[in-house]
Order: sequence, then C-alpha cells, then structure tokens
Amino acid sequence: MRVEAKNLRKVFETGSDRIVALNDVSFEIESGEFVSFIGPSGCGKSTLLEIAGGLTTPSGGLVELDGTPVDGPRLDVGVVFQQDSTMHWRTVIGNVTFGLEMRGVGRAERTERAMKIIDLVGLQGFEGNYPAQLSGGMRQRVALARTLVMNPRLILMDEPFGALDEQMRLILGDELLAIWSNTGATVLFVTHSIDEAILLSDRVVAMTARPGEVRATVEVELTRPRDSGVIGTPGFAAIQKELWSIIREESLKQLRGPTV
Amino acid sequence: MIRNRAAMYLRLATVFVVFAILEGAARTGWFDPLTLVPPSEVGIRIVELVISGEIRRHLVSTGSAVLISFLLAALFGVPAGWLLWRLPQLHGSLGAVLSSYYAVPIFAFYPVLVTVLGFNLAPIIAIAWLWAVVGVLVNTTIGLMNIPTVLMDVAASLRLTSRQRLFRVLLPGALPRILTGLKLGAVYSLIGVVVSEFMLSTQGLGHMVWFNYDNFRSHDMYAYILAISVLAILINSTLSRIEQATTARS
Repeated sequence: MRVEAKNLRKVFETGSDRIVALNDVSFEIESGEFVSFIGPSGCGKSTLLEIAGGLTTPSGGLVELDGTPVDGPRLDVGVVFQQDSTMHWRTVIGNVTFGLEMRGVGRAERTERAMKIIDLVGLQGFEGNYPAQLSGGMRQRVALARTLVMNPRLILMDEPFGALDEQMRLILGDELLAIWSNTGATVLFVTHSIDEAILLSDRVVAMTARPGEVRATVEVELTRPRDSGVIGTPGFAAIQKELWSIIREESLKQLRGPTV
Repeated sequence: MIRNRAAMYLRLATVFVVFAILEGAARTGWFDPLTLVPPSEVGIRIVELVISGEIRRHLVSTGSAVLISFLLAALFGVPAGWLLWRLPQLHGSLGAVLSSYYAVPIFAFYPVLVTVLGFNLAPIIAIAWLWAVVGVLVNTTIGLMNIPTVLMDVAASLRLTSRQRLFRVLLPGALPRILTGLKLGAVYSLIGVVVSEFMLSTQGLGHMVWFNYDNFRSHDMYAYILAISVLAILINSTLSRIEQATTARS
C-alpha cells in the first residue's frame, strides 16, 4: 500500500496552551517499503502515525493510502503500539484471534490463521498462556501477531520494542524483518533508536524537534535480506554517523527549550 | 499444595484454640454467665433452633432481603458506574459526593424510611441497597478508568462497534475491579439488612440477636450471631470463588 502525506499539520490546544506537534509534514512511502521515522521525543512522530492510522484527525493536510484520503481506521491498516496492548483476560491465542472474532470469522479458520502467525512470531507452546505469565518481549510479539493475523497491507508501528532492552529490541527486529519480507506489506515504523531504524528500514526519515518537520531522509543502501549482523559494518556505520549528526543537533535544540 | 494444607491446619488450630479458651473462660466462671456462654452450649442451641425451624424462618427473611438489595445494587451500580465513567462532567460534580458517601450515617434515616415505605421488608432493602450500591458503582468506575487507553486505540483500529467495545473490551477489562465492588456490595448488603433488623423489625437474624439480648437469652443471642457470621462467610466465599474462576489468569 502506497502512503502519501501532504502538508500534515497538527496543533494541540488545551486551554490557553497551544502546541504545534506537526508543521507541514509531507512524505511518500512506496508500496512494500519499510520506512522509519526518527527524532527527539515530542517531535510528533507518534502523532504522525496516529493520523495515518485514522486514530487522530490532522489540523491540516491529509494522508492518502493508495490515493484514498484517510478518514478513520481501516481494517487493512494494522497498528502495533508501544505500550502493552494485550488483553489480560484472554490467552495468547485469544488475543491473536480477537480481531478475527470481532469480524465474525469462524472458530476453525480463526484458530488455523492464528496458529500460523503464532508460529511465525515464535510463540508456539504459549498459546494457552495469559499475558501476565509472559515477559514484556513476548507480550509485544502477541500484539504483533494480533496485527499480522488481519493481513494488513500497511503496518504502523509506534516504537513497538521501545520498552524492551537493546538486545531484545534487536532480536525482535530480526524476527520482524523475516516476517515482513514474507508479507509484502508497507511498514511505517516510529522509533528513537538509530540502530534499530537503520537495521530495519529502506529509508529513515529524521524529524526536527517540536514543531515536527521532516529534517532529512536517509536511504539505507544495505543489502537485503538483512539481520542485526550488519551492525558495525562500514556501510552501517556511515549511515549511523550521518543520522546521529542530524539527531544530535535536533536533540540539543530540544534540550535548550522550545523555539516556536 | 503442601504449604496450603499446612496453612489450613494452622487456621483450624487457631479457631480451635480460641473456642477452647472461650469455653474454659465460661466454665470456670471468670465471666458472668449472661455475658459469656460456653461455645459448646451455643452449638447445642443452634442445633435445636435449626431442628425447630426457627432459624430457618429468620434466615429466609434476612437472606432474601440481602439477596434482593444486593442484586438491585449490582443491577444499578454497574451501569451507573459505567455512566459516570462515560460522562466526565457528571464524574466531576459527583466525585466529591461519592468519595465522602460512606461518611454519611445512612442508618440515621432508617426511621424516616419506615414511615415512608411502611413496616415491612421495603425499608430494610432500601437501606441495604443504599449502603451497597455506591461500593459497586465506585469500583466499576475505577475499573473502567484503569483500563489502559491503548486498548481503546486497539478497539478503534480494529473498528469495533460500540457494543463490541463495551462487552468485549471495557467490561472484561474492568471485571476484576467490578468483582471487588460486588464483593464489597454483598457484605454491605448484609450489614445494612442486619443493622436495620436491629432497629425496627419483627423478624430476621438481626432482629433475633436484639430480641434475645433484650430478654436475657444469651444462648440464643450467640446462636443468632453465629448464624449471621456463617451467612457472611458463605456470601464472601461464594463470591471469592466466582472471582477466582473468572480472573485467575490476571
């Protein structure tokens, strides 16, 4: 699915406070592409994702998916959130089949599709467990599986591994790459980890400190299939250096305070 | 398992020791026999009251009042708690009232309720309901407020209908807390009924405690106190079992 954002603007107004989260953001993501958005906290990258997912309405501009403007959540667009979004009262398989169940898909088909995805995310053997019995990383895999089972053509990921430690983040990144390469889905990935963004993406969009604007787009010309083995290679290091010089500047700007 | 069993034996032993001390204290005449009756004699009296059918009559009266007021509290409290969660303005204006609700001496209004509703089960049920419903309501609201907002985003992104959102996300998400409220509500119902029966009533377990106290019939008074305690334990353990069955996983 092709994603095109045109002059996105988002202003949050609470009482007399007026916060410009996004200011004139435009970008294009080709069908099947994996694009990461990176920037200092509060740069509006999560807001961007919510707008693309139809969960928030922009104050100006629009997002088009395959040429159709977004006016609400769509079933062919899946979202994976940063926070734990598993349902504590459902088992792993109950969580994964939730969306299918709500759409009226029959039990046999639900189970069959869910088991395939559960295998894919490496949760086989845990189908009957409740989220409380799983680690944070496993719960994120459940959330990922719940999204994948709906066969989305666009997957929006809002720092899905942000609450995990660095090692687990890279390992799940590897798994995500392996899964993604089989789906052909477009991915819009939000992160604040430079390594993660380079490891996963075809392109990395660096955003400015608030108000969020597109500061630069960096092509990741590392061969696919790829895994975390690329970290530390000269090609990786060059992109890392380039991105860091941009992000460092923006983070310092933010540290000095708002410049609106 | 072994540890559970050990804990159970310890609990039984504690109960046994307490009864033995009470028995000893009563038999040796440390206490005046009107104040403390040997538990063994109370036990015999209970059996007699059960056989004669006297306890059953009052148990039915108290039990049905508790059941009705509890069911009404659940039926009203859960939807009202949801409404309060849905309407933040309402929550803003009622929040202070609700948080100081249990400071209001509701039982002081009992004579008024008797005048209005008549000398029957109605004022008893009304007061027990008033006492129980807010516990259910407040816990329902808290349970709903504690549901992570990300689950609302999940519901939105999966395009759930408002009905699905309510019955498949909100209620199951808040269920552990709602059950806490219901447990509280059931115990409050019992307290409401028994205390009302103390004051103005011609039947019920609470009335019999008071009646026997008034007539210096200590054996019977203790028998009815024990009956009330057993009822309370039964209500609580039933609800705990339901709670465990539905929320063992979280």
